[in-house]
Amino acid sequence: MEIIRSESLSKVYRTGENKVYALNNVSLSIEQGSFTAITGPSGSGKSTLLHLLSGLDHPTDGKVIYQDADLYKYKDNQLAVLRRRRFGFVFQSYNLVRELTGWENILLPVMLDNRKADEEHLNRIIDLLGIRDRLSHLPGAMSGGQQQRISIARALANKPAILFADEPTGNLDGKSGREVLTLLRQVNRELGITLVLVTHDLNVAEQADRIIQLEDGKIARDSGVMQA
Amino acid sequence: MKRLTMNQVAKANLKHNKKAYFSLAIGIFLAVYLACTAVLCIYGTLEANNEKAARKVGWGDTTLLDEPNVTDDQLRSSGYFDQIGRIYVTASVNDSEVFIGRYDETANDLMYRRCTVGRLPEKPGEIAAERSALDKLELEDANVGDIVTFTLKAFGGTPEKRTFTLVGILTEQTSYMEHTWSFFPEGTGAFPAILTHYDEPGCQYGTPVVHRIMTNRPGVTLTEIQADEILYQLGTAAQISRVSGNVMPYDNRVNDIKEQINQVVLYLILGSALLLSTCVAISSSMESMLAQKTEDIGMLRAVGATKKQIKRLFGRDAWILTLTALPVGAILGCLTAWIISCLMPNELIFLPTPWLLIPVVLISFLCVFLSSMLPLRRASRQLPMGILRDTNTLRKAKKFRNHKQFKATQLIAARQFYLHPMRQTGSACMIALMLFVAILLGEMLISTAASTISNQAAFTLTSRQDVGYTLEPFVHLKSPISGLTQNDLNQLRTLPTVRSTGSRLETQALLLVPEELPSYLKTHYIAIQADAHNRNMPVNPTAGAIDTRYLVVEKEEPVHTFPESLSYDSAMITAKQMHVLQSVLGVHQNIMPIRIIVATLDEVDFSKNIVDGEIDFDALDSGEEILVYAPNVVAKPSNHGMLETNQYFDDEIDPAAWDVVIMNDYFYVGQELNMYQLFGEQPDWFDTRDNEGQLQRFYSEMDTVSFSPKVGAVLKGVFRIGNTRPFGMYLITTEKGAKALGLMDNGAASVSIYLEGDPDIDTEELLNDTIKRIGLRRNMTVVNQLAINREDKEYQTRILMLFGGMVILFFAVAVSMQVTNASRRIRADERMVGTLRAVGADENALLSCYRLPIIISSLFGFVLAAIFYLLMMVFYPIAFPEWHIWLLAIVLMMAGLNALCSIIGVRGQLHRVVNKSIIENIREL
Ligand SMILES: Nc1ncnc2c1ncn2[C@@H]1O[C@H](COP(=O)(O)OP(=O)(O)OP(=O)(O)O)[C@@H](O)[C@H]1O
Ligand SMILES: [Mg+2]
Repeated sequence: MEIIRSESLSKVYRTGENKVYALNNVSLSIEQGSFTAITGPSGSGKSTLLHLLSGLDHPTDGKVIYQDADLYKYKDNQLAVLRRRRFGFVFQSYNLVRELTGWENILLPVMLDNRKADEEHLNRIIDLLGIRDRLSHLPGAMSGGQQQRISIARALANKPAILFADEPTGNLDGKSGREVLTLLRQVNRELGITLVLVTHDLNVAEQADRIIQLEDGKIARDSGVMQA
Repeated sequence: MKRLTMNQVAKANLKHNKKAYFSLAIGIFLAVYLACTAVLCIYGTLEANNEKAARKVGWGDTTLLDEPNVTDDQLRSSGYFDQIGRIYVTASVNDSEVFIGRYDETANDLMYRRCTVGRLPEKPGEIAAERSALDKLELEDANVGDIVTFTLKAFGGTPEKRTFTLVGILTEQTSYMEHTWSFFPEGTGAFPAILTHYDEPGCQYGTPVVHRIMTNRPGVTLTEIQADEILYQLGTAAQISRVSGNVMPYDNRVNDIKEQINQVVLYLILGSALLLSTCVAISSSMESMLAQKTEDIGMLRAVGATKKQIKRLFGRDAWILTLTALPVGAILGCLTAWIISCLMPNELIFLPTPWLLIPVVLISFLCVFLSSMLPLRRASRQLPMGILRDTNTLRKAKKFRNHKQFKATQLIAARQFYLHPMRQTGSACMIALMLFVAILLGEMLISTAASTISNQAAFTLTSRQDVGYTLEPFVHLKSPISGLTQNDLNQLRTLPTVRSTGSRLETQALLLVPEELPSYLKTHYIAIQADAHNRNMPVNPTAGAIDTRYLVVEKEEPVHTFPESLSYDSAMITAKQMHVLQSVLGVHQNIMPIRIIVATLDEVDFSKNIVDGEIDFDALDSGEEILVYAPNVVAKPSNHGMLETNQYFDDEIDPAAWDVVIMNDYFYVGQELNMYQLFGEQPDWFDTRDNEGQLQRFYSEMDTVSFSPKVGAVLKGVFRIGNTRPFGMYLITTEKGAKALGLMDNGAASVSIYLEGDPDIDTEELLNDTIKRIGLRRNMTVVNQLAINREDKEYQTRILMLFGGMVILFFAVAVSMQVTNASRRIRADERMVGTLRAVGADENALLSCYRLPIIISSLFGFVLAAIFYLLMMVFYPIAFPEWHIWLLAIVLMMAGLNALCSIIGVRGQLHRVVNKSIIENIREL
């Protein structure tokens, strides 16, 4: 069953006279509970696609259909509710709130939703990510890898329907990277969270149900489509 | 290669960060502007007062009265004086207290005589005169251009007639110059109220009195002059105070300085409060500017810049801004001072003198230096890498606990506030200032309202000399110029719109007292140390007005109670006078003079003062009863070698605190007071009190009445009748009562005239003219309270408008400070805003991040203002007598309104950021 799809999605950046097609007429459909990996060379539009799918950016053209409605027709506040309840996002550059501790950053989406935290769930994630001893520190006092793990925990805190992750293992050493990936696979399988992941790492991509390769803002190869 | 100087780097910085520098520039500009305005206002106020006082007493520093034995050369060689001018008092005019005279050239400059109409005399035969002098000479209608003929009589000379042309009306000055020397014999302490040209020939017979007016060498004081051995005799040297516009026979500079501070206290308080808050504003914008540059600073330190270089680099911006702001701030400051001087021309003159730039520049630089020092020090102290990692924040963060539940956005707000408290202080101080000015405004409105409610007399007339006072102990002498007569009073009462008149006069009667003198009436003594002499000061319930020592002198040892033989001798004479009077009147009791107040009692409120009996107006009017004011008098030596006395109710007296406590044990309700009154002119042949024959004849020739009213009520404590507060024992009755008793007097010494509502301009002019004329006839001072009130009201309105404008200005400044503060933060935090949006925060949640600091600083400002208010009440209770809760409520509402306006402004700013996509927010950095 399809959970989210894009219809001829484009993003154009205008710099003076020039037009840069960060994303050029991309249509794709993602199955519920699937694990999709997006790969491609630097600057090919991976991040852009992920942002547009998760409602963080505005497309120049095209639609993103989630639960039978265009994401970009939602009102701002409705979209905000959607983001905190249904989507989780792991940024390439973490984006933690500087003034909040690790724990507070993780809890941020839950608290913005005025709900009680599912502590069991959180404890599991925290232990799996190995960040328990960093929880009461401010991001400034953490290494890049620790910050990345905090941001993964934050994305998972609300048990989202879809987790978008932009190179979540990019800053981790091989072992930690594998562990994080195992965790992501685990939540994907056990909680049924749909996983959309951008990666350069072919080993990571191998584990995905489907690999989409982008080049110059267009889908160059799509394993899912091929299989089908 | 050209070297890149720090200055160039700073300039480049300035160019590239125009926006960031804007608020810093505004802060610095405000500092310069405020410093300039405050300095100009303070200087202008002092100069205005100086000028005002100079119009009363001239520009001299010292006067010397009629000292023919001291030559100008002696004065000059003493080294105390710069300029010495001579004031010649040529003669008295028409046998009155008005004198004519002339100035030499120096005195002409120093006395600073100006004309309200016409000009000063320019050749012999011309005169200029003060209006009051013409009034006294009954030349009320004299105008410039009139020819007048005077009878001049020089000191020791004979009268001669002379004719002058009146060419000018002088501003009033003589009364201020003469003030201290009213005791001088026969006008030798007088100053000319009519001025002739210097070349006007003197009188044929007699000599002029010559006063001198000098300016002191810098730093010379009256104390020094009076302590000088050669000038020691100059008892008549006096100090001219251009602060109070008075002439004082003693050095009064301490008071002058206090007075000067009082004159400028408003500008001092406002100026320093404003400067302080701009300092905080500079500090916080510097702080946030440096915060934006944390990474730059880290980089600079990483590539090896020293702390000093960093301080210089970022401090230089502030200095460049100060230099740029100086001319603009100074010009606008001048403009403001000029506007204020136009609003209050009498209180402030606009005098932009170049040397005033020195304090302006000093204050501005000091402000900028002090307020940039702290943020700069903090910035330069940070470690190269630590700066990137925000060590300061991390150090503080140790205290954080991890909560299970929290309001995310509020936590962020609180955390930001906690981590960077300086950023919000500026606007909090501005709000505090705004609210405090609002409190001042409220207090002023309250006091204005209170002052208009009180029932005031529209006109008051007061005798220049005491018509109730008599030199003879047992006879109330008829004074040459009487106070207002019954006729005058009737005339006043029939003037249009007059509702009532309250008149008041004092007369003296004789009370028969038992031979065994009641202790209340006795005289007590207090030893007082004054200039190395030990003196015994008499104290009795008349507060020393009547000396009762003669009543006991014959029974007491002189050594004990009469340490000064002079007063013993005079008491003996008075006792002898009493014995003669006893035989004339055929009484055997002791006779004691007693003062009587005759007044309109309708407007007097002494209900609290009645300790026994009650006031029965019918009985008073019929002369059956009389009121006795018998205060409990307490006394002790004061710190200044004088007596300190007071009159309390019984339960207010702490006997341990006073040396003498005199309490009434004699007068009681229903008591019959047997009294006489002797009234009349002192006969020419009466020349000694020590001659029984003369006394006998004198007393027999006087008009004599006797009356025996009963005491209707006994009063104590302190109260007012008309515009005076009776001090010491008195009998009190009404006008009708006095008539019924047959009391004789010298006329009313003071009258208050109450009107029916506010008269129109024509009526007021008519009233003013008539009342002035009647007053002049009786040598009385007339005060037109209506005019004074009007001036006061205009002044108050101007001040209120000034303060109201300031409240609005500060309100706007506070709001814009809050909004720029928040929007600067929103811009700096745009990435965080994006992050919060990405994890699902809506616009409302975002707003609450920025709402909290605004609310906190508004509240903080309110608390500061409330503390100010409280402090003012503790240290300045005269101006802040009461704690007005509702004023605080209004002020709290203003703080709320301020927060609301700021939040609306911030919402607009936030909207702009939220309109962009999240990715744009995050990429911004
Ligand atoms: N704000 C922008 N303005 C102009 N061009 C942009 C902007 N953002 C992205 N681009 C361009 O869009 C293209 C796609 O960028 P995108 O970030 O999606 O690449 P990517 O595949 O994620 O690269 P990487 O692997 O390096 O993260 C790039 O060529 C980039 O230069
Ligand atoms: Mg990318």
